[in-house]
Amino acid sequence: MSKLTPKICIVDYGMGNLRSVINALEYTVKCNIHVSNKKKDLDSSDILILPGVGSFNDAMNNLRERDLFDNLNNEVLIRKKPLMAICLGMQIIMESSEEGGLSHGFGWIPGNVTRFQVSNEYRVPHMGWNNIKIKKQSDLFKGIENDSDFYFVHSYHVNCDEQYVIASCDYGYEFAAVIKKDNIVAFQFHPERSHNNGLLLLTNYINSIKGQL
Amino acid sequence: MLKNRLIPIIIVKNELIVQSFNFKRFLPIGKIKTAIEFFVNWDVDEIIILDIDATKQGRGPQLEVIKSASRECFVPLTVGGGINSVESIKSVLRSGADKISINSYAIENPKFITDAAIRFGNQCITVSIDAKKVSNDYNVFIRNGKIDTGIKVSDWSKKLEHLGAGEILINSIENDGSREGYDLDLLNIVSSNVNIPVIACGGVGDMKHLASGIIDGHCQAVAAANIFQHTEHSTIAAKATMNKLGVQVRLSSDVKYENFNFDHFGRPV
Repeated sequence: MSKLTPKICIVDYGMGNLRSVINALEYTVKCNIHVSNKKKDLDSSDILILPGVGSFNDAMNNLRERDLFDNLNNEVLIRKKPLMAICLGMQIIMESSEEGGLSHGFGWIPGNVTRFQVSNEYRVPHMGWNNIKIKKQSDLFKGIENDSDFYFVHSYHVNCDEQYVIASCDYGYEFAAVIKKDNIVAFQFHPERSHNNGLLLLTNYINSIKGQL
Repeated sequence: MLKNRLIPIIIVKNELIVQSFNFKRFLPIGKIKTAIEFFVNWDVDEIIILDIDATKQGRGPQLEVIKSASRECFVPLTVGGGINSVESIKSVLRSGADKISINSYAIENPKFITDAAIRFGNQCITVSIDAKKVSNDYNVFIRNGKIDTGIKVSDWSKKLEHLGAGEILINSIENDGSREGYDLDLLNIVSSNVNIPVIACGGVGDMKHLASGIIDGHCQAVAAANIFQHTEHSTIAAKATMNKLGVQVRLSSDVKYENFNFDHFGRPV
């Protein structure tokens, strides 16, 4: 049965700018947005959004302190709830990261996170607008051309099997820009700060989930 | 490939946008929200809001102003002015900023940069440097350009990267408001000494100056304030000029001015 206004829960675990995600969602599609870390809000939502800016370890510690680790595992892995992860959110859903020593993530998608190993002509962080290569067609990219620009800001990136990579980006070498596995979609760039292309991507995502509800 | 960024700076005094001349004279010109809507629709890559009264008045950032500015800002937003604690960064980010910019406080408390970078990630921490030539080298000035710290810009830039800054905004006090172009020597001192992105600022009076900040100053982004006020479409004209001069930029607007030249006011001719 199709619901007109899906309930979206932006997971608040004390990392980064939630306001810009809220602003972009409010602008794009009719939806019911909750910012919360409460089990009941996670439980009653149709879509989970895992944003995040900051360091990997702080993110994992904050999630554990708020009892979110087990609750999110349950929602995403057992209940198969649609989840969209952004930037650091994309990194913590992997198995591990080398940021701050070796740290463990959720491991929802096999793979790890490493720092950019690039020559001196490439500055780190990778900061600014870069074009993505669409690897696998998806409803997500409806109306979005190959080589469209999105806003990136990160020093680490995800490495995973190419079966999960639906769009890539190049900064000294090719890395994963958008990955997808089952009910999970993750963006290394910030759709909420990527102007028209980003807003369209968010609209496409919500609409594709709405069709499944 | 990664594009070079064009960043308008909105200088705020008493909740109004002002034009700044050598950090001394200020001309009030309009409301922040109007400027943001205009810039976002006309293809800018990022926006910086600098509240130049905050430190002087001993107050924190104006969160309501940031909230309202952020509402329709669908490009990254950097906010500076009055930030001096992890708590104030947190509240600015929660109000809708993506990055914060610190200046005087970074010089007075270098450890704060490291604390902030550990807590929020270094990509979130922009350090702004106000520089002026002192006996054939450049020194770092603080408190709106009033106090000479005696620290060399080259040394401070290197130290900033080491401390965990994610980006440096370099501004020439002498060129500010001059319309004579960036101080390219100054830009090169910073860009050659660090491996983090550098934003050029201060002195743009012609759209060609912007391309020069990238090509000759070797910066990754170019910023300007005064030139983007009063001129409709000026950011698009800026990008069209940069593109023509060989700088890779994002052009997403329908208006691209591909077959036009521009006069020195940036108006198509």
